[in-house]
Amino acid sequence: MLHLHCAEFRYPAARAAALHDIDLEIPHGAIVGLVGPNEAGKSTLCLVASGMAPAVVGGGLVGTLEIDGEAMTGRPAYELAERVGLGAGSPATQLTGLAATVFEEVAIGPLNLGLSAAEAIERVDEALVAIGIERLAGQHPRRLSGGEAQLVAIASLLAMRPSHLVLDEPTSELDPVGARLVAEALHAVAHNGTALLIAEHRMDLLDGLCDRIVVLDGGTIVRDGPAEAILADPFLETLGLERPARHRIADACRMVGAAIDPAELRRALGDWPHR
Amino acid sequence: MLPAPASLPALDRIAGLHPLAPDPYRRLNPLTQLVIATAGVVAGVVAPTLAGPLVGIVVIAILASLAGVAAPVRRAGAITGLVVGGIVAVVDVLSGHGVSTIAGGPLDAGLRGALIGTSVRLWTSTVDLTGLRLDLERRGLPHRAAVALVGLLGAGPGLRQRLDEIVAAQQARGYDSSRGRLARLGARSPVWLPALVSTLDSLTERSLALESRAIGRPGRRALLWAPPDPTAERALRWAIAVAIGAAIVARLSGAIA
Repeated sequence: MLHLHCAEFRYPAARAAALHDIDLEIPHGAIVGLVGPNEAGKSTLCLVASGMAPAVVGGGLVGTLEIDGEAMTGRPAYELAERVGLGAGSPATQLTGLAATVFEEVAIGPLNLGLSAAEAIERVDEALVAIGIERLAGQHPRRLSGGEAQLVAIASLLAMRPSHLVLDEPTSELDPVGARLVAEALHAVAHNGTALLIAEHRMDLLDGLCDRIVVLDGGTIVRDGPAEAILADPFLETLGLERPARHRIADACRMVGAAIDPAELRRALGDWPHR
Repeated sequence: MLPAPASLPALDRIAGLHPLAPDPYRRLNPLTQLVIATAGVVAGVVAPTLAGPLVGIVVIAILASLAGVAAPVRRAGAITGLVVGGIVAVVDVLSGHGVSTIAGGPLDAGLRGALIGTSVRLWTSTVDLTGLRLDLERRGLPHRAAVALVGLLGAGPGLRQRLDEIVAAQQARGYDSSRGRLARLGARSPVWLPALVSTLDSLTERSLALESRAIGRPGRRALLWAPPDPTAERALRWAIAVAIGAAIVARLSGAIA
């Protein structure tokens, strides 16, 4: 379980804290969606939840980050990385620039964990298949498109098999098919017990994938509850966020006198992904 | 002791992802390429008479042709040769030596500059940084040090790429790229600082990516693959290294004027 308790985080040389009073628990196997308007602090929360802030980016954290009951304060970044995978930043900068092929790029994490070459290869094969990018194995990472680079970055994290995964906009450059593949892979890793925190603007992706939604505004958690209830809440629109399409369609139908249950709409649309 | 190829369990499969380079120069081990470039630079300083640098330039030119990078290497040699030779000529004239010592002054300096320029350009045009990192790690260099070294060597091309992206963005907004090379160079001057800042920014993001892949974990890593290093090449490398050392010693002791 990942537990962020009473967290306040301030970037180096910043006057104001970017996050205040954050209390967040993500149990193993849970998929928690993180939504909020621009500048709400989603990326910062991802950095803090992964321990990379302040361990790598600097700044000051008041409060504690606990992973499976152990305080992570002051731990070196590589110890944090063994427990929490972080996918953040633009896809191009998530690649290490150290490998000549996608296969080796994905293998860097497992090899850094001290695994043997045979174990690393097994994990890379599995991660490439999970994300559906086996065909890219021999390509140079520098020649990938933005979407391909994003898929490779996610496969690189999956290959490390962390018990917790924090992803900031993991599908920002993906087409619907790529986004679906990623969502299915994330669903599978959560099913195997990994705790997931996903900051994402695509509400339709979070709808059906997440158990819980956390809404962040101004660096503070303003809503935290079951995905079904939060994503249906018109409060999201007051923050400039769009509810999933099925809720908006149901509202529009209601306005013209045709009552449709959003749950029925979801079923009609394929009850995606598998819940 | 280097691991024998057979002890790298994935050798066949991973080596299959690294097709053989099309030319004999690029097929050399990255360390051999580095030693050749270093020898060129050292020869540019210590090689005797005009013949020494000339022979060096011919050797580098042949290697550049083999590697298919003759044009940029020739350009680099011409530019460094002209700049170094020109500076020495100006100093000669200003110090009253005149043109009578041109063979011993500007021409000599120009040839040496050209040899250094061509050696460095040949290496930067052809180096496989990933292969070099893996090769150095196989030889026992700590992982973090190898990554830092490769990051440092790759910073120049990274900055240049960013600069090209910014210039391309300017062209998309109407910047006239049909002017001469000097005008284009001039147009790049205002974007140096933003390019540098954005490169540093992307380095920060990349360091986050590296740290989240446990790059800082102490200890050696298993290697999936490393560039081949045949015995003949190792012997060649040692021979060049010994020659470099001997030339430096001869120069310092006064045996070479």
